[in-house]
Amino acid sequence: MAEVRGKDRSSWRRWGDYAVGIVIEVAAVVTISLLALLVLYVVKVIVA
Amino acid sequence: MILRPTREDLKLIGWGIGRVILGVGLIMLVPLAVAVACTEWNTVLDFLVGIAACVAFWLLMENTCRVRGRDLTWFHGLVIASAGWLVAMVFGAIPHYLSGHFPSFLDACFDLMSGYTTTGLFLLQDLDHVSNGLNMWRHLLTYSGGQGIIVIALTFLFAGTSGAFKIYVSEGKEEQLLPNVVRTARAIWMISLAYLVIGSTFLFASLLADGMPAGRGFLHSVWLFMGAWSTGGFAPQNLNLLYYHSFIIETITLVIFVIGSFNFALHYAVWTRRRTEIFKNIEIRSFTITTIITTFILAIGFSKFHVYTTLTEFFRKGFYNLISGHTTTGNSTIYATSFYKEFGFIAMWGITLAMAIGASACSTGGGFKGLRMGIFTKSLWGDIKKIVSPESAVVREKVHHVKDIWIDEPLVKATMLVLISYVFIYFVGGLLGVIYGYAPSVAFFDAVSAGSNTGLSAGLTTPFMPTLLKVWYIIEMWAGRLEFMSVFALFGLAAATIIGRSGGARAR
Repeated sequence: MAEVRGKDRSSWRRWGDYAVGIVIEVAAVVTISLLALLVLYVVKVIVA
Repeated sequence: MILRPTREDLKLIGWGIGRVILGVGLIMLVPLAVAVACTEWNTVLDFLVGIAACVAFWLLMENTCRVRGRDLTWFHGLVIASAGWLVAMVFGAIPHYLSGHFPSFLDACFDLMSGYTTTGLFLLQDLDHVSNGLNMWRHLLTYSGGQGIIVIALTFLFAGTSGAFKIYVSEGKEEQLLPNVVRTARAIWMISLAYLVIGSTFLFASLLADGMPAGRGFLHSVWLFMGAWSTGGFAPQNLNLLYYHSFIIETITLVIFVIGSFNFALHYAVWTRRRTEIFKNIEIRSFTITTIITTFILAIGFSKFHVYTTLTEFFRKGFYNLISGHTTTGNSTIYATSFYKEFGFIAMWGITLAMAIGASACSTGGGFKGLRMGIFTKSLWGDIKKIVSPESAVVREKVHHVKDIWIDEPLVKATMLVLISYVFIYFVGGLLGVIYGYAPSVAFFDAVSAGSNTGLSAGLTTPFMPTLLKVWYIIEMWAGRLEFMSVFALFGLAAATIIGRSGGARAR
């Protein structure tokens, strides 16, 4: 029983790790997009 | 001395290709099930014919080409990968052609190669009235092609074959996530399927909120995910993402295709507690820098021609298409001709540059790849440092991609060979377009799009384009996706068969 519970816990931990990984990847995309939009803003300010 | 391939070599290659084609036939079961569920009986018949052809070919190869006691060499792996994709194109095109949406079998083959290679260019006519079964086949093609047809075959059909790694690498995926190549292939599927569930759920909720019926919304959400994640860019409607007129759907698909363009080794590292890899990885750094540079070019171009001046317009019409091009996806929020008629030449060449650079190695994307851009830039930087350093100084550069990679001459040579090959196919495609009378910016835009497996079009790629261009684009998509080495091996096999000397079994 203890072994089964241990396996369950490690499975939950693994899927938790995957979920954190997904959040980090989404955050990376948002950061890159915001950086690019900042470039646009700078160009607009310079051109104006 | 070049050795002529023996009968056993050819048999092994035939056996391997037979297994790949069986994989194609098995994937057809999914659209067949969709067609049955939607009572599209003509489509059911098309797929039954396709599956029967695949199984017949596999049985033929299995019974005539099986060689006992010999395993695959690098040469066999390379040729199986390159020839396997060509044969898979022909067999996969059967349901396409039988659907009646293609005037010729060549057009059907074009769409098949575009799907497998996650390009996204298409010649299919009247897309808005295609059956659900065929639409599922188009999107499943690009989804499975993104992971690699060979990865599929490895997952199910090559288990236990010690030569499996050689075929895996030959498909342009050089990295092993796990010590065992079959487990690596399964890990790739695990990542893709996890994102399929999450991404499709978000898209489904958005489509429902926009008023789409549940059944249709479910199919559209799965298809949109498959098109974006695989960086294929297929969509179920002719207008692509423009059909939905939805800021939310555009944003979700943008996130999906950028993540889809990341290296599978990077996904695996970040998912298994090596979180800092996302900051250190050379491909993410390279992608960020090239995104900023090309956004700058786009912003300058738009300012000069006074188009898409508001931030929302820039994001939805400019940035979306730029990132779609950079990740080699091909999803689009504008009409194809708008690239030529509205963007202006500066922005258009900015997107062409982004497409040429492309996404990450060992991902679903195409193009030069961030890793090669990193190696090239670092080696150039190393050369500059060498010039300004004292003669006795030892200058060595490294890049970080999951682990530190020291840059040496063979690595730079291999990188340059692939970069030059890409430039060659881009250039020939562009030149052919110009010879046929298209404007240079349009000709090079579509040629780079095909070679980098992007799928954005400035209006050149239509069923009415010249036949030679169709054939060249098929070659571009195929060679670009396989990153050339397997293609060189196939040419090598042809040359060795003609001019080689017979000299016993091949030992590579």
